[in-house]
Amino acid sequence: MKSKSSNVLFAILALSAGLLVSLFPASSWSAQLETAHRAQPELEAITMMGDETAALPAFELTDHRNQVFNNSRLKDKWSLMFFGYTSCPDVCPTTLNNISHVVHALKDPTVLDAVKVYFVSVDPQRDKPEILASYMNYFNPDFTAVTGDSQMLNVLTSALGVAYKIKKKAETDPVYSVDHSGFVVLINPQGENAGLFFSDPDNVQAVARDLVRLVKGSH
Amino acid sequence: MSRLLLLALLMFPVIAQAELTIDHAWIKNLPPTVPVRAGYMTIVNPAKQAVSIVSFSSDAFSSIDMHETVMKDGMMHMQHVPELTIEAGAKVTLAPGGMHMMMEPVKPTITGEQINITIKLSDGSQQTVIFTVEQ
Ligand SMILES: [Cu+2]
Repeated sequence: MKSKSSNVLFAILALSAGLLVSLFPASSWSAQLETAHRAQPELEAITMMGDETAALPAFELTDHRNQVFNNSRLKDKWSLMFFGYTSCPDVCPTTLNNISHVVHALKDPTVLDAVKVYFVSVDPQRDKPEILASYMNYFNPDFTAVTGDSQMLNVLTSALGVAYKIKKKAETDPVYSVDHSGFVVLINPQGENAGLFFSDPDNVQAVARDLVRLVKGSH
Repeated sequence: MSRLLLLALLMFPVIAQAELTIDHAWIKNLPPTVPVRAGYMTIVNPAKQAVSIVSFSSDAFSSIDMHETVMKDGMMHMQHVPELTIEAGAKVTLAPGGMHMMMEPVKPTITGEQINITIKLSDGSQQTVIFTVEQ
């Protein structure tokens, strides 16, 4: 059911496309595209920051092994960072389980070595290093948990667009929950905020494939 | 005697109290340092009228509340659900990242352990469900 005018239009489009290709050879085209997309491969589940990719401000926290955790720890690896608190019954365990499944799906030792997982506690009052250690040990001993004073935490959370709110009814309230962002942050080997995704049991394989693409693409 | 009882039951059908069909009742285990647990299950109300879950009780937990994880101001927030109504013939799923039972254990839970939890319904009836602690 093609009309005569659409045939003509198609011919013009085809002609101009041919003209464009001859004016700009394939090599220069792809070179331009690559710069525009920071050489990022097509991804399924992770949303990349693209032009918004930004270096992180200097921060210093402490990990569950009582080691300093600062910007230099993020260099040369792709880091997945999730913000929460260990007294969280639903969202944090579910997300950590999902990320654990993602890591198991990576298989390739080169890729595995290039991906690190961090759980950042925004509840430093209760989440002391020994509590973080037992928490990491339970989910995946290869994961690292970090926390620090609220000022330092806020340096990192605001740079990453992560929000949290401690829901204490009284200053001495021992049982309280903490509202927090539900997405996982992706930090690139340059230590920049590079992307994010919402973890879900249904996107475990897709996130794993994306990480393989990113790791292979950055070599 | 038992024949008489059967006969009596057949002749005077009792007004059935609501009984929910519960499937995959489980508790996510967490390390002993974590003071809370989440419970999940699939609930079907096979009755011809709606019924609500009004409360829970268990010797293993000092408190059990119904919660729903919702997105609020861009954050994951746990909202208290005072009463969970299950319409006639309807199915409600409590699953990770959504509706859950928020529970404070009296002692650390162990993977594989089975824990009885009693559900109290709006018609005054109650039923006990066995929850399995899963890794
Ligand atoms: Cu809850």
